[in-house]
Amino acid sequence: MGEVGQALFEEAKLALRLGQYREAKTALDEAGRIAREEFGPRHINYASVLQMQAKLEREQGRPLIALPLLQEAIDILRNSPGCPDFILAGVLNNFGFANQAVGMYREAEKQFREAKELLKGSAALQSQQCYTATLANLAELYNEVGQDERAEPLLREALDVDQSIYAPDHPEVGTSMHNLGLYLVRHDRQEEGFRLLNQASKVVEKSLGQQSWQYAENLSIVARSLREARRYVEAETYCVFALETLRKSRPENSPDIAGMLTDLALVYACRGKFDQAEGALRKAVGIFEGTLPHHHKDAIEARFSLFAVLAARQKKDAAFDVLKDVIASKSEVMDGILRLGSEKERLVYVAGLQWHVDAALSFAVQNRASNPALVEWAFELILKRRGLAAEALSTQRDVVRGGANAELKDKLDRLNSLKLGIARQMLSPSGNADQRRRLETSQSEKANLERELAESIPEIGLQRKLQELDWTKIAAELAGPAALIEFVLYSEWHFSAIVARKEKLKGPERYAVFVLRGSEAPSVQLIDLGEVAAIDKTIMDFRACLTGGETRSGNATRFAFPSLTVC
Amino acid sequence: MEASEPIEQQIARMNQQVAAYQRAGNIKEGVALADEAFFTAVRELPEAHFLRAQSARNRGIMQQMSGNIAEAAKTFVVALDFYKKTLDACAQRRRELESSGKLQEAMEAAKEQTTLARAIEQLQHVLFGGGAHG
Repeated sequence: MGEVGQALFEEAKLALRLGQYREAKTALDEAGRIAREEFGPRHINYASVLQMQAKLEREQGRPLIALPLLQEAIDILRNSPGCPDFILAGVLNNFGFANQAVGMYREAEKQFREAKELLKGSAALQSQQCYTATLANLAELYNEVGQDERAEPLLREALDVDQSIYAPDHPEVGTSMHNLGLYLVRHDRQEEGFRLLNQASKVVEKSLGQQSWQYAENLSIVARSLREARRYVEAETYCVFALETLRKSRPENSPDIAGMLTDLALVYACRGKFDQAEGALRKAVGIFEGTLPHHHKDAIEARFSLFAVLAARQKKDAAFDVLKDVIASKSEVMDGILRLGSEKERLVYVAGLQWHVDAALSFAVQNRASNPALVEWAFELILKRRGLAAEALSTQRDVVRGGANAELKDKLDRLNSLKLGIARQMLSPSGNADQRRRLETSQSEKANLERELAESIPEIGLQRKLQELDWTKIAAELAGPAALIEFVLYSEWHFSAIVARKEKLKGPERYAVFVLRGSEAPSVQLIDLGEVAAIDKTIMDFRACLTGGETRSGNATRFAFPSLTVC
Repeated sequence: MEASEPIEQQIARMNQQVAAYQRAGNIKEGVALADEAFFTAVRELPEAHFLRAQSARNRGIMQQMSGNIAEAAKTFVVALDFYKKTLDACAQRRRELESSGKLQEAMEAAKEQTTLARAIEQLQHVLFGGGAHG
């Protein structure tokens, strides 16, 4: 790139690191225009700008916009003879990140692994730097999908490589130590974990000084680890120190400061300092609001924490307003995810929403007497959520069967045949290595096909359909004295629990039921039925009593439900 | 000019005054002051200082306005050289700030780098016509 293009590119990179997204976008747009004019749209320099634009979109919570940009960059680089491996690997890493952000874990893994293979064994410093970063990314992915055991060897290898190519006090060594330390702390090896975390902080402090953002970031990781290890007093000290340090290198309105404020607020909340937590969260939410899109993951989580703290402080109306906003943002994100993911990936994402729904139901149960609108809203939330899970599995088939997208019929037939084959293989009593391989191949083809179908069918306008859902319309469909009964199971949230005093924030699981009545005076009631364990046991006893089998409790007469509280 | 005024401030103030003369059409005064600012900057400031490059460019502009095209062209070439050295130093400073984690200062340096690159592009345009991008 020429001098101006190069300077703008560097400016954009820094603006991005500082969370100054508007500045980054302005600089990148101009750098992109210059790169296209000077080198053409298939040049490696233009691919670099595309990659940076994708990173900007991803960091602002728009991974779906980032994906096609990264695909274009990859296509350019794959067709650029002489393109250094570390550049292609860098874009593959970003591609992996974006796919991970939308729950497309299989794709993400493929990209991280390709980057790893490209770089493995290279002697060039830039390739080795990219290699260790790739190992850390892959480890993070495995952590996220619950394959934790695959993460540790990668993190250890990253540290070994960094220690072999850098001086002992190099910041990259500190970063690898931090990643491994964090992993160990999270996996109940706190002694080794905290030793590495402290060692890493010292390395970064020595190499970059206390003013650096890397030092602040390391402190914040230690703070988070201490919170996860339930060492709240130390966690608060670290959070405050990390925030002060971060303020030396970041403007007050940067998303990093907001993230640190959110961390600090969580520690405050764990210690029962709800007023301080509310103050920090309001500030964080305000910063996110000014810098990130409303539906950005970090912004949503900060608002969710604010809701929980407001609920703890009995500020019910304010809490309800924030909760509605959080759930609406989550649904917005979901619409995009459902368009892209495979069936399994979509269901994983839907399942990931459960704890928000649990918190919402707990809030509704706890405050149902004082706010009927809350019960109506919670009922619609449950129906929407049921719809989401069903939609995640069935919409595309319904549409094709309806003839609206008949040209996709071949793909649908293939999908159904694969599903049948998979079911047969899974039910087969053998299970040798060949069969497992065939099963994996079929599952992989099925996931790809599902993604293609989801992208091709515009009728999956889930958001629109679910937004139109209204409990009064359903009530109007009920004839005469009929009522609709909707059972729900949720893990109860205790918003004002002081976790530092070992009070439980969540649990145990409970049953509740919504009762929708139609006729002339439509209404929704929410009834708390009680703890799941006791009810399940009573039901089993009751069934045993009816069938004449043995009861678990040995007392066949104990089948009465706990008394119901109707509001 | 105040005796106690640091040299950088003196030159910056002179450059501002040159720009004011230029806008007002006071060519003679502008040429004289641009000369003074330029030679003071060359004598007093280090090689990659931004004010050296700016003073050279101002002198070139004033020479051009006074009709002394040959002197203007020579001065623009000198200005281009000064700007490139300043740009290199600025990019180096940005990289050092970046690697030491001082991102806000690095950002300021990056903006300065863009400004310098634009000035170079402009000068190249004046000297060599369109299409010169270094």
